Amino acid sequence: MNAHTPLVDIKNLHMHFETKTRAFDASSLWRGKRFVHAVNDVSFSIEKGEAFCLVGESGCGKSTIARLITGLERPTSGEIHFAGQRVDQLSRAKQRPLRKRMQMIFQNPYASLNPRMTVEQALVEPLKHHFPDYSVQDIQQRKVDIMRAVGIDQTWSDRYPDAFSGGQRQRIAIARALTVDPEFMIADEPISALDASIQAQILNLMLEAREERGITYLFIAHDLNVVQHFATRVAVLYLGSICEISSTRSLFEHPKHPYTRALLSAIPQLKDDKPKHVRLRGEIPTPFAPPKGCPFESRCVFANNRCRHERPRQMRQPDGSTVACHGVEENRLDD
Amino acid sequence: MPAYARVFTSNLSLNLRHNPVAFISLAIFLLLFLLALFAPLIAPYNPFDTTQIDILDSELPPFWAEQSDPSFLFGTDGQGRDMWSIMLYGLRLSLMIGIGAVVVQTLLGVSIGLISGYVGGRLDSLLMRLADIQLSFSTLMVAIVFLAVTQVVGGRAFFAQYAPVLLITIIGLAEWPQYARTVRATVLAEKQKEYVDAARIMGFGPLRIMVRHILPNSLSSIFVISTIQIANAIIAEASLSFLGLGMPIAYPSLGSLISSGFDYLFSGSWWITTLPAALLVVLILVVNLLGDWLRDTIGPRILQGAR
Repeated sequence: MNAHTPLVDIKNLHMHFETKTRAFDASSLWRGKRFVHAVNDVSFSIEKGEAFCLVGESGCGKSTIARLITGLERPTSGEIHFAGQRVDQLSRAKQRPLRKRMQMIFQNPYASLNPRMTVEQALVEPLKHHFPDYSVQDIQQRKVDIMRAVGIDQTWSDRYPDAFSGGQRQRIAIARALTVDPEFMIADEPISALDASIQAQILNLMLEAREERGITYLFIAHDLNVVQHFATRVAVLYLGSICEISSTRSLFEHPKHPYTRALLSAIPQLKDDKPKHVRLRGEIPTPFAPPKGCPFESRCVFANNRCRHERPRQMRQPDGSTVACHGVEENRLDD
Repeated sequence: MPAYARVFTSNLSLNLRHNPVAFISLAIFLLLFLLALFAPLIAPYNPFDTTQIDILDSELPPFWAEQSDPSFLFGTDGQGRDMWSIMLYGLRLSLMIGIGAVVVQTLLGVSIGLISGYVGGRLDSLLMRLADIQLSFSTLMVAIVFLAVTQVVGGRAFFAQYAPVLLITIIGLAEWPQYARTVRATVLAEKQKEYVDAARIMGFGPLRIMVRHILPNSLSSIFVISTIQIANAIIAEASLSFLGLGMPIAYPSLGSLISSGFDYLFSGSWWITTLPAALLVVLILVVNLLGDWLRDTIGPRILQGAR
């Protein structure tokens, strides 16, 4: 493994879900199998130490990408490399050493903790599983350290998750993920189910973990303010395809892709006296039959004939970002 | 807080104390259970000890009728056995077979349901089709064929000796699909939840996830269906015994008592069949009422209104 191997490298990832239609549904009689194109030809890489953000509206495939990287689903095609090793086709036994290095925090802390396990059990189980040669004292010591690090009171140990609020539960979930001391953490909208007052606390806790433990993040979000606060780089996802990958700064200062521009203009501003929201026309196309050309073509004001027929490729821009847009490539957007 | 206090203040017990039907049912069930458990201590006679039986005492009526003998509280049966004693022993056998059969069903059904729901795919289809096939034979039909063949092949003496084991096995085997289906449905619902994903990402194996994570969250539906199944198993045993395929008359369960007393019904000795029948009805009724209450209190939505 040389110095330039990214921690996570994703190449041409596709994920198509087959849907089961009812046997006598009129539309399925002649159509047969239908596929949801959840992820279409997605490639990106995450360097060690980054906080890489995936943004996009709901249903655009953000969570599917997270599930693919963690191995909860197998991709239809494409490759996922973790620390130089291809991981998308590994058996469960071979995945096991990776589990210590890669963990995930979920969106809904009311569902991600087992309601029949106390905090103590939830934290000790992974330790016992992954560190079989630890003594009871080692495990207890480690548990206490982690509880302290995430701000969980020691007296919570014997309580069940239903005794806690959403923010407290998310702390417990983070503590559980930290027990195995991972270097890469996927956070699937970890704060969107929480109260606004708690969101900042959890976000800061994750930032702290990043500084103190050197954790690399893949952070999935739809709240752009959070992204601006947290991310080092951002990938904008639309209908299972990446529109733009850019450093946070250049994304917020000079958004290039028309979809990114629309997204950014939708951030509510406190001084909104001159609203210049980019209004998108139409609806997101159905993922059953994604457009042949640019995925965003049907809603883009700049779309021309080429956009309708040819899929744009990721093109590197002078400021280091990459954009998939014919308009940007032809330099015909800014007029 | 000590354990008994925690039980007493739990939502379930609070609910129980505010539900008179469930409360009385539980009280009666516990009473019957204790009577059955301590039958050898409570019963004034040992009905299996032939030296205590006198044929001259046969067909004595219960205490409220004329010609009753004060030493036989509920009268005697056609062989001169004390009704009260033999009913206690019968209750003991019926409950033992019912609970034993449900234990067999639970072991089989819960493991099959867990595997079927968690693994899914072809294994799931195979196991569920097996369950469908099993369900398409009625429990009684399977049991009648099996027990009749055993009686003929093994002989009456062999059958009499192993009747409780045979009954537990056959009723247990015949009804596993009820459990498997319920558990599978619960597992399918639980499997969608993120805590199962979290456990998979932690690298836990399927067995650990099934037993440590999904099973504890499926317990409420298992409890609910168990009460209903105990009642069903007791009924099945009673039906088989009534048909002469269950417990032999020398070691009677409630079903065989009802059956043996049937012959005396028209000679005026109504109590020999009616008293065990009433006891059976009360037992089944309270178990079913408890089952309904459990279902409405702790049962998940998928079981609401189920039977």
